[in-house]
Amino acid sequence: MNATGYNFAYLDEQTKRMIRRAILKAVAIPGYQVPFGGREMPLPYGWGTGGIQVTASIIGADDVLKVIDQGADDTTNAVNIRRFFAKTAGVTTTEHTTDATIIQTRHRIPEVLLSAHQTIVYQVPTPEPLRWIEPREAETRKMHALTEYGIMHVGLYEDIARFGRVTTSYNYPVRVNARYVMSPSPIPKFDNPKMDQMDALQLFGAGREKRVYAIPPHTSVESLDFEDHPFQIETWEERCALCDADDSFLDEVITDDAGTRMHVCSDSDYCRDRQEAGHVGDGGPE
Amino acid sequence: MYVAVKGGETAIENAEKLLAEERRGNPDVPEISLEQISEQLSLSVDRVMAEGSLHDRKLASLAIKQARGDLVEAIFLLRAYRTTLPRFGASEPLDTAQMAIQRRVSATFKDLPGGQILGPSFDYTHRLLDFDLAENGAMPEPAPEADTPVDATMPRVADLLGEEGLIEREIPNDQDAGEPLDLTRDAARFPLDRATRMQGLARGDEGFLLSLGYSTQRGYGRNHPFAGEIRLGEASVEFIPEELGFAIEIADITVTECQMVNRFQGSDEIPAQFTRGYGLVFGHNERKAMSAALVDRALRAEELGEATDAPAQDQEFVLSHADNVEASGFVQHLKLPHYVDFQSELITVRALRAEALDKQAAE
Amino acid sequence: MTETGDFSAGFSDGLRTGLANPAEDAQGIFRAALDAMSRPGTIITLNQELAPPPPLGTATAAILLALADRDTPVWLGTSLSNPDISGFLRFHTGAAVTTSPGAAGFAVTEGVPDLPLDAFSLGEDEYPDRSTTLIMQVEDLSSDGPIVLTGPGIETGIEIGRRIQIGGVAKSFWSARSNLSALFPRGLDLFFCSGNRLAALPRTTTAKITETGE
Repeated sequence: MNATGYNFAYLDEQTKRMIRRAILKAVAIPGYQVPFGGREMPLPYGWGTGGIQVTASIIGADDVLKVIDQGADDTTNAVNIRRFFAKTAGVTTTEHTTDATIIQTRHRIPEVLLSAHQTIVYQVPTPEPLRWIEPREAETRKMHALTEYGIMHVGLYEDIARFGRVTTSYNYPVRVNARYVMSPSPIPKFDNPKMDQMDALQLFGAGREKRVYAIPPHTSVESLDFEDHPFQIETWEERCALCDADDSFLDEVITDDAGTRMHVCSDSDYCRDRQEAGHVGDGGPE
Repeated sequence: MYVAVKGGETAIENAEKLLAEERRGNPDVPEISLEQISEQLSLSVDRVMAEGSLHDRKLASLAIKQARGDLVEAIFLLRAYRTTLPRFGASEPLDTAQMAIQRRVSATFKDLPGGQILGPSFDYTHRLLDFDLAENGAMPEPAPEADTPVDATMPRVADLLGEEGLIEREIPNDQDAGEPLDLTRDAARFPLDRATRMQGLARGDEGFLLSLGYSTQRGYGRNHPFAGEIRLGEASVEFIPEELGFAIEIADITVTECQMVNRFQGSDEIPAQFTRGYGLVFGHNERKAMSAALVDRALRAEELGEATDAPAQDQEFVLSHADNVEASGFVQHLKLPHYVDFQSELITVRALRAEALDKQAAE
Repeated sequence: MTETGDFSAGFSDGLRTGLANPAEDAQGIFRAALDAMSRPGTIITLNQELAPPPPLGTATAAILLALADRDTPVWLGTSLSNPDISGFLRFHTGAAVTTSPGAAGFAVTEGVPDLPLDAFSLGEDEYPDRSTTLIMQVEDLSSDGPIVLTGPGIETGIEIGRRIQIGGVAKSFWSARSNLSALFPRGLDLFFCSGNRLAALPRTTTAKITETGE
């Protein structure tokens, strides 16, 4: 694509105004999904069009952008979105989490605590947390309006009755500011606790479903759970083979056809920082 | 020692180069021109314009060329271009009774004012591969011209029934409501009114609508359709610029219109009569126009007090899944890495298995 | 008003100028508004040079120029209802001035509106976002005042809440506003503007007056 002839950050000003108004309402009603006139982007639906539209609406010439997919800056989808903004907005991009003012993400929250000068933009495939229980938008709207979330708890509890635990491992529903039940996007539940009282503003964009929603800084975000079955995150017995981290989300990498595995940080920037600071893992199987 | 994969940007650039090579194919074969696509693959161009919601033969031809003939990909290209165009307003409704007719058939009357006009149609062709076509160069024999030109005004069949009160009156949407909602600019809010539903159907995937229309014929929401009329021709598009205050003609476009006539049992308020299902598409595409008309009528089930238990009668189901650019993107996004979520699933499944095996061992 | 902007700024065709660099300026103003809405009660100073027709203030005009358009009718309070302001908004944003507060995307007043707050659109339970955003021009806006704010966007640490001073707003306004909280998620989101400074109070913010206010 030749970017000349397009407006700053691709979207026209009228579209940006519409999305900006939606974002302001989203911040004012934490966890509520604001419908917006999502545009057709030059990237396919399901590949981050919602996140891209949110980023395009907030980004300015002074911003420093980081894009991650699965926690990594070098996955093709992250590379592709980063080069889209480098081309259409000419902004500085970075792989260093702490240098970024805007972080667009798919499926992870960085391991380092985000700060007040940062905004994290999540790409969301299915914004409606009740969708798997009730497929109709007309119904789920009512359930949100009336705070009728009993059915959600029943669903989770059926899991407990059958398996002795909640089996949802990612896209684990949360309750925002003790009001709206919200989809955190398909992040692993490992990342859910990071959303609670975060210093940074959290914005969520769903392009295909045409919804934006938000969590303001310092807002309570609770993962749904039960007194006798409190929410728990994933743990590993292993440490990162590259940086020896024992506190980060680890990806399993298969290293030979006998199924030998090693574990490495999913957050590539966190892992590199630790390696540069002198932390050394066991290097994985030889 | 394990080294993480790098070089995503180079990989993407190389993939683009490979794709361009594949698109061109064997360089010894002459390159196809947009004119050739527009003239000789005209029905592909029609479909791409219709589902791309942009009437521009040249751009649609370019999209088809760029997409290597993949029409859904071409529709996506055209849509992504369309979205950057400024919107000046809404045109006046098309008056299809005034259109320059190329083809017009009715299944409900043997003959009717204006006559049946077969026009260019695959309908009665024998589907035998024409090996003469394989040898380029032969010009088709010119079709003979009729002795009398077709009538300038052709009443629509459904309107003829209206004289007797046998068919429902078509009441335009609330005139005071202003311009209809634009599905490409505003988020849909269910339930949608009929005008908005029709927009969704006009942009909807032909194959999806064909299957849904077919399902109503097979008993999933049966609604007794007759093809009241199918017409193909050129209609004028009129627009009222704010500064002029009167309509000016801005284009003539080829459209296919289908009016289905469906029996309605009647209700407490309305005696038995015929109702309509309506389909209109850019270009020549009877399959799509007829399918849209069947689905439009099926989606009116609730309004007419009929049972609504079939997929084609469920507007959220139909309209949330009819768009092939949305569907294609979301189905194919499964190609993107999901290894973080998969890792979480691995942990959960391993834990569930360990608990189950422990339990078995204890028993 | 403490200030009315720089009158030496350019005029064009009798209409005062809008944003000098529309894409860039609108983005900067929006980010300021977003920051304000995300961190209620934080006072943000805009560095926009604008000369809106009086008594429209710089920050008020900036928000409207950045966010209003044909899709957002603007309702103006009595003291702001003049042809200069209507013309300025129509010319630079395309927004129509409406006389119906319930139809307004944005409502603009000097001080407390002389209407009950629910005369503006509070949205619907299913679509609470379809509510008016009220922009109130106030005499003064400073931190460390008697109004203590709590809610999303406000850190609760050693000190409870964030303190703010909003001049010229009667106590009755605060009780009327707090009455709306029972209607949540319906509600009214507010911007307070004074000169080139702004602060925001979304519907989720609770405001308590600790000392004798006005």
